[in-house]
Amino acid sequence: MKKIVVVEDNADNRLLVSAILDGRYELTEYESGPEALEGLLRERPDLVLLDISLPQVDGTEVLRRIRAVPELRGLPVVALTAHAMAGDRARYLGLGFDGYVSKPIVDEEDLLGAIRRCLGHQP
Amino acid sequence: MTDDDAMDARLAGLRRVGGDRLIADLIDLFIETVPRRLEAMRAGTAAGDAAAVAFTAHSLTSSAGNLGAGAMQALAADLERRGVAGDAAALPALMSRLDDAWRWTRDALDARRKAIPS
Repeated sequence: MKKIVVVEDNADNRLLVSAILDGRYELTEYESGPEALEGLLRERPDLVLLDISLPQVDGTEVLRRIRAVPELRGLPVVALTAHAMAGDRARYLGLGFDGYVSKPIVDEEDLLGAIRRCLGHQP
Repeated sequence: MTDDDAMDARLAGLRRVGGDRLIADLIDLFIETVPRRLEAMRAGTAAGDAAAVAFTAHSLTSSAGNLGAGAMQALAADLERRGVAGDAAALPALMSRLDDAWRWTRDALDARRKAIPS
């Protein structure tokens, strides 16, 4: 089973992501960017779901730090964001995210599809 | 679609993903955490700290959306926009409407939570 890390400070969003991925992927959860970076270095997953609006160190900075680590080169990172403004998708992809999912996740296929696209259609 | 219908449609979607357990857990978490988030937003509003209000409003937007609480979701999104824009003068009236929406939402979610067999 492919391994996914979710970095999200809201417990309700972690619950929802966990329910959607249950039985499909092996999930590890982190509540903050620094905690996640430590975890990623211990064990590299197949994909990261990264909330943008994290306290202290926000998601775009966490992405920058991930991209600066040679061992994490090529790691797919999908942005999770509740901003959902026009042009957001292009902006986040431009920042180096590999995918973008807007919250609330109303249709679970939005999340599963974004993951599948990043993993090259490997379930 | 009424607010009740929108909430029920959303809960039906959650039931498909994670059954009644997921709905119960999300409702419990929402009812437990919203009062202190509203308190933080009221404090930020009183202090004219628009950025702090925007940060909490942002997380409340997706939490309310998770449960189909449309009125709270829309008001929190508006508070976030005004907060980001630094429009502190607009916050008190929106906060008052958010408090009203919370009372309706809490009762609506409470009734649905009680209908879930434990």
